[in-house]
Amino acid sequence: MRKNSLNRAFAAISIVVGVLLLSPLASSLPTGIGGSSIQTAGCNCHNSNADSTVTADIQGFPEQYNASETYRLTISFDGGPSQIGNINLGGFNLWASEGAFTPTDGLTSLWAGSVNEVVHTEAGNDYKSWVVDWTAPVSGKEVDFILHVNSVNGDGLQTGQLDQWNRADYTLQSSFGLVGEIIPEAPEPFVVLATLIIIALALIAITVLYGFYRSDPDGFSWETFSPWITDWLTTTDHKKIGTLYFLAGLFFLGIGGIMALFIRVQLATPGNDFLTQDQYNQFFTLHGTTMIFLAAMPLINGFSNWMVPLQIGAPDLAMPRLNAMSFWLQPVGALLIFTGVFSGQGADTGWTGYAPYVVDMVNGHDGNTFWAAGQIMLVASSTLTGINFLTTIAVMRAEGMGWMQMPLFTWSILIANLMLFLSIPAFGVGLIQVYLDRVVGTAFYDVGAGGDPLLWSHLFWYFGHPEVYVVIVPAFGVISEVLATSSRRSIFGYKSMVFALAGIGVVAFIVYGHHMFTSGMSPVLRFVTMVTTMLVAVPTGIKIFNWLKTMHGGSLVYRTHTLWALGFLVTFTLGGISGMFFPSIAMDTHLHESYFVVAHFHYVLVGGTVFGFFAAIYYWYPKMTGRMMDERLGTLHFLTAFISYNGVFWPMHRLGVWGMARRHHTYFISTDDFANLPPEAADWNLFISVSAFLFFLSNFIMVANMVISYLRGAKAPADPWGGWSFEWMTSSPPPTPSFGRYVDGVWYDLPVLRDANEHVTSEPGWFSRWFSRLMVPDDGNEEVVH
Amino acid sequence: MAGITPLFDNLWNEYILWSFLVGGFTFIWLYHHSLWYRSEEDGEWDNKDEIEVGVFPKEYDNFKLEVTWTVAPFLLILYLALISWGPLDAVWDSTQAGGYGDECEDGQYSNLTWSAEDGRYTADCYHVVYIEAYQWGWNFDCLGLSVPDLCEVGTSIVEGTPAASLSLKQGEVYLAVMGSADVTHAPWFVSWGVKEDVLYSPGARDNNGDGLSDNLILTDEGEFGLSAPIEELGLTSVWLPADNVEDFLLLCTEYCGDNHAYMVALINVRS
Repeated sequence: MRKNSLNRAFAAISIVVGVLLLSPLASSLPTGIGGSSIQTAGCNCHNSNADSTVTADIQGFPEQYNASETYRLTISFDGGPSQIGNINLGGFNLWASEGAFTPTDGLTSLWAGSVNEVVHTEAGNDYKSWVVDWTAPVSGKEVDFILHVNSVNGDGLQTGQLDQWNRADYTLQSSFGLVGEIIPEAPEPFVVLATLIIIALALIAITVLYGFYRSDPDGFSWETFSPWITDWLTTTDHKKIGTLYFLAGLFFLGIGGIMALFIRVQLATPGNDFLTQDQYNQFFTLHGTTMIFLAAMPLINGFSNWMVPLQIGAPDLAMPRLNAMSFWLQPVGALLIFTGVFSGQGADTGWTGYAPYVVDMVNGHDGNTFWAAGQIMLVASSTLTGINFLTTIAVMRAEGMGWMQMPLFTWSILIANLMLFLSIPAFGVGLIQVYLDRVVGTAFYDVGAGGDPLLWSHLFWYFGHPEVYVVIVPAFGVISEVLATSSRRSIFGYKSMVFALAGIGVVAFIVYGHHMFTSGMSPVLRFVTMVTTMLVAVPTGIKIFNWLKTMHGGSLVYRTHTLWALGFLVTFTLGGISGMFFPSIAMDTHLHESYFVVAHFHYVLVGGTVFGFFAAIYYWYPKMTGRMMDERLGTLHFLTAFISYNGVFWPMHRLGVWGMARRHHTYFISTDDFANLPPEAADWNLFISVSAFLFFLSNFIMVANMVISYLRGAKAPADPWGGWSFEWMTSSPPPTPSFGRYVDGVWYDLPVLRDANEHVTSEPGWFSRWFSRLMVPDDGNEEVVH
Repeated sequence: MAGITPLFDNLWNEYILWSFLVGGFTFIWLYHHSLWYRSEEDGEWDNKDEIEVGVFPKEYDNFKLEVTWTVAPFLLILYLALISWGPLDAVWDSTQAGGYGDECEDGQYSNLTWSAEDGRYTADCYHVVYIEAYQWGWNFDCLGLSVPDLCEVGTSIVEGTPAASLSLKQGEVYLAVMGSADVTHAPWFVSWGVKEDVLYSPGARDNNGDGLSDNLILTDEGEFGLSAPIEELGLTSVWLPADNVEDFLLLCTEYCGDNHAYMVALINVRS
């Protein structure tokens, strides 16, 4: 048995290593096969191939350039058919990866208005030498130059001695300062990020090893450790996979947080150069991608893996091996996404990956290819997870548990996975198109070839908006559980809570157009989308009022998870209210892509989703580990994090109204020459940055609490908070299998749900009857529907 | 500081009022219940819903209340949709909306006026200007409006970096038609509170080598004009109501690559 496990582990590791070795090959065709620009195809209008008898040259390059300094370059060529007396002599095309060209006379001009590409004019066709100015970038990164020259016979025809051309490549490094000036080398932000990631991984490894050591100090040896770690790496048990998801989610939450701190240091003062523009763009892209796909989604899957089977009284998920595969696709996807960063060309598109920039092979980074490849892996993972949970919830509920007796957290996972299952294929299709455009040279998003960039916006937001609800709806489930248990009451309006969840799931698919109000959308569609977007407030309002009414007449016990649930109600309500400003189009045209948007979605996704997760951690930690968490540390965590969190995101509303744009490397304070942001905007940005550090650090109180409680916490009883659902029936931590015994292909002793409401159990409802008709009859394992 | 249009202000004030009412109602309720119903003694309580592990608890609901807080937010939404509906005309990028009339004849002025009642602008007619976006800058063209002093393009310095500038006349309204030479961009006229995507337009490049964007042609009068109708050129458009004398920055708000943050221009409205 152990040998089989080891074989599986080696096979899995071999696949991962193979993927990593093969993946970099994707960058061997950075321009695909369809490129038609001069950089990829050369001066083919003058001949099909380059000719070595033509020599190209540039004079005027410094040994190292200084940021923003202007250099005068002389471009020339020699050889070929060009000779005095010809009608024309030749021409050139010079492209630079960075900086800006300025023509010095009428012999040269910018190519299509692009400042990084300069060509000869019609008048310049009569020369063999041209002069242009090149202004170095402020970013300080390596600059590549590609020069093409053509030597022509002057007849305008391909007769006699044919036109010839050739190419020359140059690379220019930046200096760190003026000659003679000693400036200490600044730490490279990506090296700092990599170092912090390695330290975090090392700390996790040490913590795991120490935890293993503490479990049996006398038996600590490789012989005992090897099967233990192999078991974790090859497990199909829903609880262990849940723990793996949970640890991965927390790890990436920290990584995403570190990237947010880099962003905040850059924006602490106007005109800051802590990050180059290039680095800043990669940091905000990876911050968004990491937080949504590598932190929020795994944390949801962590809780749902742990709690859904326990709450419905199932021994495990319906397809445990598929569940393990869903998990292991995630770290592989994450590695792909981050591979671009550590190759120096990380994705720089924003988490939205808008076309056509995402397929821009000239200015866009090669890391965008890895970003798309990694995201495709995550799409596959989420799809498999969706199949698993929908199946499990549909057919593995305990006897006595009809649809309308399911715990609300399970309902929230059902709705979230339904939404994900219906929306994520669109994203997957879009990603595959982007990948093909970048690697194979297809033209889904190449407008010049008939592609349509708006197609990406539709595919992305058809998924992207429901995705926001996918990550907030499970938090609704958590808050419903926590508030009801803490109030020692039944949730108010159970049925309307379920219908509100379903309502959010339906409305989520007809509102995404509000992300595209400024994309030239039809006025009629703008109005329709405005109304449908506002409608989201109805089911959301029902939930908030039901949560408040749940406390009515209750006996509210203040625990850390209660504090987080109450904090959630405050911040999520504020996030919901600010969300109502965007459907109103006359306001959206100003607020769109501003810091008001950043404030809104962080109030929803941090104040909603993350606060919901924090409540869930304090609520279910005793069940998961068998240890109680320290309430004093928990309260300290809540107070410090809640206050600093609001310090980070509340002022952003004002910055957005003032006119601070998101995804900008810097911001402009009003001067005598122009109006932009008022001077106090700089003060608020500094305040936000300081608050961001406090918020980040405050969460280590929770991490410390988790570690300390795991090692020294009081033993947890089966039902420490007085909940009713099945997870509180089993021991803390639960055994494996979680419920019942499996003997000769039959499960025995599975739990049966009783109902305090006599009228509910008498007849199946219309929804149960309708859904039952969809099920494939299985005589040997009849589904229980009540 | 960015001044926002009266159109924005009217809606903003109304929304802020309702935000305070809804937020205040919710937070007072939350504050009251979280203190009033707190447990006096941990472990002792009246288990009125018969909560017991393994038993679905007694349902706690009230049909009238649940209907009330379904209908009340719905009515509020209808009201907010209604007050947001009227100003839609003013931000439509379609010239069919009618609020600004037809394109001005030579020598005709817009006479931009603002109604305090509904916060909307109206004008007798509008002028057309052309905006071209590229990585990472802006090109403006007045399309022949420079002669009657309605429009002027130039170059300014923004924090030490050259940036294009567009000078417009106070009291006039302009329809900016826009095309991109490369990826998608979006000019944010911060002080007017408007932005619109600029999509790639093949004619925004000088493909025929005459030194001009293909979207433009030289007219018989020696001025620049559009080479085809807006729809055929794949251009988007946005209204620019030049109501106050001011200088403000135009920012790009659709991420477009390395120098996105510095893709700025100066908008000058003069009397």
